[in-house]
Amino acid sequence: MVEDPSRLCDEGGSELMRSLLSAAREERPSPAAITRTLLVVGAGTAAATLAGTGSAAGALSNLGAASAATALGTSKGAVAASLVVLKWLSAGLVAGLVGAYAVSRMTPPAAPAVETKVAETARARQPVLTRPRVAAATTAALSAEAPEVLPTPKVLPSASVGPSPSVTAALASVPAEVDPDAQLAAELVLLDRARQALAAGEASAALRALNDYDARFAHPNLLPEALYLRLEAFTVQGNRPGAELVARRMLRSFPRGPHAARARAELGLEK
Amino acid sequence: MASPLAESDPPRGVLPVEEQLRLAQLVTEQFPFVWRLLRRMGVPESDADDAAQQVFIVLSQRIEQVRVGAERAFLFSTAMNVGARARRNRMRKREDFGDDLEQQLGHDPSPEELVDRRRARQALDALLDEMPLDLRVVFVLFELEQLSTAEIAELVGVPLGTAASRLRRAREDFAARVARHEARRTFGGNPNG
Repeated sequence: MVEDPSRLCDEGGSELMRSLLSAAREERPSPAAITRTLLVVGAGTAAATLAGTGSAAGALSNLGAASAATALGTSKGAVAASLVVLKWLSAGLVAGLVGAYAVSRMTPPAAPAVETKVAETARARQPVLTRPRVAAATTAALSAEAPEVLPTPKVLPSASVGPSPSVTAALASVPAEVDPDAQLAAELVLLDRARQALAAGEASAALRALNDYDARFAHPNLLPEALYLRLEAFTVQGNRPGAELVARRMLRSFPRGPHAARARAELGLEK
Repeated sequence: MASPLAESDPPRGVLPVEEQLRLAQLVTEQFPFVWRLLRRMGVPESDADDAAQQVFIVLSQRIEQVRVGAERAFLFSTAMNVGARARRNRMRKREDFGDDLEQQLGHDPSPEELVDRRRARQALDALLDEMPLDLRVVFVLFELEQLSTAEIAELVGVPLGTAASRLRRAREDFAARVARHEARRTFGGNPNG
């Protein structure tokens, strides 16, 4: 059995060593980067659901994968960051539920039946969520990044839980200016909705969600992603002038942003 | 910028709900680990978000093939590949613009300046950049991510003894580099000359 030495940051290292290493240990990605990634991989709504079930570990145990969290060997820093993200989502969820409750108190008696029907329709559509599509060249490039030998595949149990439409609806109903945490959670859900609509080829529905997004958030956190989705929606519609307008705005506002290359391609500026 | 979404078309395919939940769990818990690993493997802060995002996009495309419990190993391998590409790009830029490590450090920071965490990280990255990759990886995982030697051996895919040996050499290597850096700072001379 090999006994691990003490870490230089804790004892044994010089003052300079400790200074260098502790600075690196403290470094963290921004919670916004995590949120963007959730959106990009198509797990925004699922993250909201995890927050809604009380804890991520609880949600996984519902899937029969309770050991996963332990097996992941989560570090303290990772837990802290995930708690920040889940806090955002939870804050949005709570605010949304409060908002939904307030609305239900003011809703005429006939309205709940309509809401239930909408919720049922949404529930029926919920189990299948889309994953991001990547252009063929990009897929090839990304495949090259994956390890050559993949861990053994395992068949997961069928879904016993899923993102509740009432949860997503509640999140989406968060008032725009409740607080920054709630706003980010609401932004994530609305953009996820737009992305799913786009995946289903429903560009008009995607644009409705994006219009809703623009109207709600005067100071959005995920504007580059919203603009990108709008550009794609216009492209699907064949609205070339609209797409070019959005592309110009993307380049003007975020010339070094994550979607600048797509905007340049739209305008024919790419090599 | 290397965001795959930037080059993506409207989405295709489906992910079952249980995989979506698993993916969400992994992103929220493991993103900081992947991000920091990429940073210490030489990915500049300005590119780290995109690089980490790339790693999780790859995971999302393979999630159904990744065994439960093996996710971290998959993320580690993918991050190392993404990091290697970023380092190659950086080397090319250095050749193009004549950048080098000494210039990156600017002048030798004083103790007061090292209180500035950002500068401390820059100095650390410059030192790590000079280390052999196999030692650098083990050093980062042990000293910064605080994994045990056994965990590192499993992640890197080497015997426990090899991991322990690399860690010992990595710590010696790092200590020597820091000592040279301190000497240079103190006397203003060239520790290599």
